[in-house]
Amino acid sequence: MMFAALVPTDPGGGSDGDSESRRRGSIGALGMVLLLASLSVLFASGIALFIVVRLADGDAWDPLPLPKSIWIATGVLLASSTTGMAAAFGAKRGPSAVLIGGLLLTALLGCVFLALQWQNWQELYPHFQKAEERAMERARALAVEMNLEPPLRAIPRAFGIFYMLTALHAAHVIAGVVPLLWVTVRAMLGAYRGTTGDGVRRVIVYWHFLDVMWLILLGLLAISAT
Amino acid sequence: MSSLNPAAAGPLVGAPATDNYLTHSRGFWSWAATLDHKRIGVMYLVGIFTMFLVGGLFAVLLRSVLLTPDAAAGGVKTIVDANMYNRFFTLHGAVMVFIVIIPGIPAALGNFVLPLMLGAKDVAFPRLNLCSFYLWLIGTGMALSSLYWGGVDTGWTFYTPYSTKVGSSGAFGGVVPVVAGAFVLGFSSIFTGLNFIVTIHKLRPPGMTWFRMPLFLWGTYATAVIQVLATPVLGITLLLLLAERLLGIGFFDSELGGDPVLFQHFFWFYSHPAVYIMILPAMGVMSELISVFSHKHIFGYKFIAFSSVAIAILGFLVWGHHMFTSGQSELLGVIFSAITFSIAIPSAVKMFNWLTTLYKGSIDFKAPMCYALSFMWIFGIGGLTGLFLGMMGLDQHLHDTYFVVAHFHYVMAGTIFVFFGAIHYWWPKMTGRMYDEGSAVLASILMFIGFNLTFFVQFMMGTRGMPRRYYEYRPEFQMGHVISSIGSYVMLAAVLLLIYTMIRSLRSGRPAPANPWGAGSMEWQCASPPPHDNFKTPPPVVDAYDYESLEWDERVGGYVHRGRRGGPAAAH
Repeated sequence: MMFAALVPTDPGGGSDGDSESRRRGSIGALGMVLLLASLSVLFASGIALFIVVRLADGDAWDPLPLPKSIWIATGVLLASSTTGMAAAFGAKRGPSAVLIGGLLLTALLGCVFLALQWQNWQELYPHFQKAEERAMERARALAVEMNLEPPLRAIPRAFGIFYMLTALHAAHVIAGVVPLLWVTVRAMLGAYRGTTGDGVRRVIVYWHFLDVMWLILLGLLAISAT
Repeated sequence: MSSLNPAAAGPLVGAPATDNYLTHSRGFWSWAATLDHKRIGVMYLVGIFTMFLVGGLFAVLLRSVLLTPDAAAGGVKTIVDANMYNRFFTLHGAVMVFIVIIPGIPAALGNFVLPLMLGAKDVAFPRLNLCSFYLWLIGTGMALSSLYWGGVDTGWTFYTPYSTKVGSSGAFGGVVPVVAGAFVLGFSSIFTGLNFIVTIHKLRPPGMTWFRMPLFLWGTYATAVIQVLATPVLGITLLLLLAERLLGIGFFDSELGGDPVLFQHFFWFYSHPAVYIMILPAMGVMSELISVFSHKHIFGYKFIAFSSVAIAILGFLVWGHHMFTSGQSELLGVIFSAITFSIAIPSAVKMFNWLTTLYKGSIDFKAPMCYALSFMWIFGIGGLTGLFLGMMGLDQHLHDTYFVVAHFHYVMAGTIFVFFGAIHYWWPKMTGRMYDEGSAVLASILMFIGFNLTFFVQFMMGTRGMPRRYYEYRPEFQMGHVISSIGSYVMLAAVLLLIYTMIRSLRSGRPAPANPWGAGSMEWQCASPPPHDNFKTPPPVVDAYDYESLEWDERVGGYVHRGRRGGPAAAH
């Protein structure tokens, strides 16, 4: 819903249309840069946590077998960025078939990515249960040693962080699909006729950001999986 | 809010148009769905001030509980039991930090003033601005709902493992709503910061270069950078805390293989910069108040501007000084200690520049100036005692004592003085009414006395070993606690007097001229209260601290530009 709110202020006054729309475009662009900066810090701090925990755990780290479909999901997300680029390109020419088709495909591929992620989480679940048992055993042994009540539940950190980071990413994908559909509907209603298509471009920039962030996450998970 | 409307209905001296932002449209939705930065600012102000009263009420109750020592020494704790006491101080802290002080000056007053100071019609993203306000409302509601869920007694820092395990009543407890509320408030804060950065970058009028901006804008800008870049770290920390509490993932709990100090690092990586989110806008307002009420050009403009930026940058690098006693490596401790000391430099730069501005100025002891001078005293003490705490050795002794409580109240609650000063300063602009100077100054003096009575004695108690957060204490500390509690009652009286003064001004205050104080920045060039779209044409950019070109005009009861005396331009 951020995007709907990222509408620059109407400055009023009698400035001419072209320089005015460029000025509004630059306002929106800076807003987008700051939003992405803020999100980058969010993910960077999650990644920092992951690295700290991974280094601290050393050999005690539960192996994290990456499901095969995670690679398919990656391919789908990369493809969606390409269709997004096509849409942004099409946006320069008003409501064209390239624009509408590109946006629809991007949104669709985004949904496929989410479905595949759901499957990945499911696939990982048996491993997760095993690791959880081991973690419970460790916690029980520690509780006996330290004369404490054993905890009710112990989830291994490796899986916890995997689920958390990928879920965080998925939440941002959902937060990208909604404005994608929004600009698609607007494009169908002919909203971008005679404009520079800034609104579309900003949504696509955000989409590329999700793509890059996913590749970084995937790289980290793959390196530390074993 | 509707109570503000009658204030604007009266005729305004020197203002030909009676249409202003308060009377522009009427009805509930014209406020609730407004995109006008001024109305959003007023709504924030009403909300934040109400929450300040809630947080303050908890504080007064705490001080009342602490009038008597432990039961063995004959103290009878009649007001609440120990559990309730823990909830009171937690909510006092959480409300004051997350709901009142962090959004206080930027969201309430910044929203109102920032576009006016730029001669702009609104902030860069008005819808986002309204969205921020509703997020603030939702976050506040969630945090307060913890009272219903059994209260939260972790302290506002939510330290693990206590916050993830024990807490109050069951797995959900009061912890989850407060933490989730703080998470939502974080979004509100990020969006406000984002809006202000873009506004300052893009909506400055032609001719207003960076170094011609009023210093309040520099303070707000530096704050906004921290809001955008530090708040996400709090976001992820709180998410992890929720995941640990609800799902049992062992990030921070050593029983589950986690590390509690990790939480502290993540928490303070945001929460120390948050201290600068609180104080930088206050310092920005200070620069305005000190200069305007000395009727003298601000001294060392660039130094003040850059010191705000320096504080914002250094503020990111000192979080470890909260963990000198948490088992942090000595090398890290030394580094954090050194950087902590270095923050004293930009802070002192500001203090000396304000002092030099005062020197040979013709000082006007109006209420905003009384609050500003109070802040100089209070921040002086708060800042210097911060150096004590930044010393690793001394901190071993002072950590978690009343010394720390006194220190951060002298800094953080010090910003409340500036908040009050700013409310008085911009009150004529916001409401179109002048408040009664006599009772406002009396309230500020009472406030100053009450504050020092409450907290100065806490430094002494702290050095003698009175631990913070305790419900009961040794009888030798009773004298100090009684003095402290009396101080809190004096402050309560001051706040009540302030409210009375302000509400009375709405009913019977003299209509405000466009420029009652003789200030040079742009917001004083439009009528009081400003019209709906601020300026019909952008006003000419002038030096915001040039007072030579202003003179008192008896007919409008305010200051006007020389040569424009009595003319219609005086109102614009």
